[in-house]
Amino acid sequence: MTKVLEVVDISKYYIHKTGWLPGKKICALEPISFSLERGETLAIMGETGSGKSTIAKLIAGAEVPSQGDIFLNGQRLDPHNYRQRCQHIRMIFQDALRSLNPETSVGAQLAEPLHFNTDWDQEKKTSHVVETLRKVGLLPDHYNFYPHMLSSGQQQRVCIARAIILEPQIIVADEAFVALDPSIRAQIINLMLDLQQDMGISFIFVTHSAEIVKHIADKILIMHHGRLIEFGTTEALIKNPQQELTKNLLHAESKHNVLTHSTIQE
Amino acid sequence: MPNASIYFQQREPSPLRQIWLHMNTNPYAVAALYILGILMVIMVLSPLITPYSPDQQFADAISHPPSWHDEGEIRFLFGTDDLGRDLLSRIIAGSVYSLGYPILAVAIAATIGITIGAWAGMSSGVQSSTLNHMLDVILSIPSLLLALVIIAILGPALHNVMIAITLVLIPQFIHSVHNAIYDERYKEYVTASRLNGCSRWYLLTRVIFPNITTVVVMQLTLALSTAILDIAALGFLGLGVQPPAPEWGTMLARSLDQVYLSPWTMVLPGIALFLTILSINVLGDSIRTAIQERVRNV
Repeated sequence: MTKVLEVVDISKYYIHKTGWLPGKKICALEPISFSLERGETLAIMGETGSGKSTIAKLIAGAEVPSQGDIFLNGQRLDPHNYRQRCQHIRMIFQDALRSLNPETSVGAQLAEPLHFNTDWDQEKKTSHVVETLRKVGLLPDHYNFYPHMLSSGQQQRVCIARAIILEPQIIVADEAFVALDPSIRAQIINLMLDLQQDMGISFIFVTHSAEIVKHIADKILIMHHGRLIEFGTTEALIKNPQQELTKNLLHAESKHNVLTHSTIQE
Repeated sequence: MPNASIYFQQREPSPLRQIWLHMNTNPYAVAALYILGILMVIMVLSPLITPYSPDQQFADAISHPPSWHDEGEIRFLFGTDDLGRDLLSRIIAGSVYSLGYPILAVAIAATIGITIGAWAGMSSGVQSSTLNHMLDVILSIPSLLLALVIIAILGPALHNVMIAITLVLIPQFIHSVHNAIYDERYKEYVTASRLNGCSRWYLLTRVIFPNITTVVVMQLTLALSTAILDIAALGFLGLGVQPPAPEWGTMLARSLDQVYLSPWTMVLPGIALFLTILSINVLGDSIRTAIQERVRNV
């Protein structure tokens, strides 16, 4: 296995400015480094505000890191060069509806990355969009739909279609499954696992759900107050967690299950 | 797309068509649209359809009442004024001054204002606020007053009024477009498009602009009714279009002396002005609601 992604000492500071005085520096992410191999799934877990979304955004390029570099197959990614990055790293946002343009049809939105990253003619773009829609379990008819006409599961599928349409090497999903109900969530996760097998994509998930993590992740990264506190394989972290927080995060779901179970019995 | 036309399919109407369909359900909007459409056609065809020249005087028919009056003549459908000029011809010819010139002023102001506003909205920091507040000084003076100042310096004439009105409208466009773009710019769908590798031009014109049409439409109708009212008001005060020209405001001012003798010379241009402004406002408002309705969910 080869290293697809290497993150070296990236950090993010925001400057909170009030008035004319020089602003206060707020740390969202302290310098962290990790790497990801081809076809691997990394889960990022942590409490709210622990910087896990920041990592996702930095990798996807939605935010510019304050310092540090990201290397893709040994090549440095320029934080301002979106075209270089989007051919290899794509992002799925938390809120599917908000990340789709309400005034543009689904087909036109999916053709957008093709328009800027390929030199295909209109016919080839259209057929590729239709093919991608099929891949995520939508119909060619959805080409002319507008985002608000789709159900939330379908909207999420469109977002996945947008992420895979350029056949990237890495997909970053920022809490993409929170808003979905369990059956659709399972469907979408299975869909993503299938795509991973077919296309050899590496995934980076940001999630709260210990169940999903146990199900799909190869490695887990635990964040706390903008710091990386534990990083290891799923097996190791579940069997032998070094930190209290890790234990809580990974076993929260099972405690919850016991509770619901007991109430049903009553 | 394969097998597209084998079965009957209900196609989703395009956004423009949806707005049209929604507007069609509102009878006031349709009426306003027709009135404005007819006014525009009359304005464009005014040199051809006026029965007489607007300045031609009929010595035999001074202050003739409209044709529906007992003493009226069908020759002069709307009657004549105190100099024996046909009122219908004057109102038709006046639409060029009272509707055509405001449209021109708004078009120029919108082109400049939207360009600067979009530029300001897409840039950030000092550049953005410089562009945004460039013409703010003008906002501190009411439009009519500014027009008066410009006319005081350059003398009363139509082109001076046009300069004044255009100048006043530009900062309003800049502000509304800048604010609208600024609101949209940090939304997730724009970030998503940015991550698609879109150019800034594409981002502005294809991604953000369709989402701020409501703001632009609202600003356009507001600006148009302001411009019409200002040109008419300055004409009424004798500072804009000069008397022989058949501008509606000027006609109102002239007829003031004879309002008891020949009320039609005041009422008819007044009705023309009222209908124009009312239909523009109703139409603008219903287009805005139609766009919002479409976004909210069909």
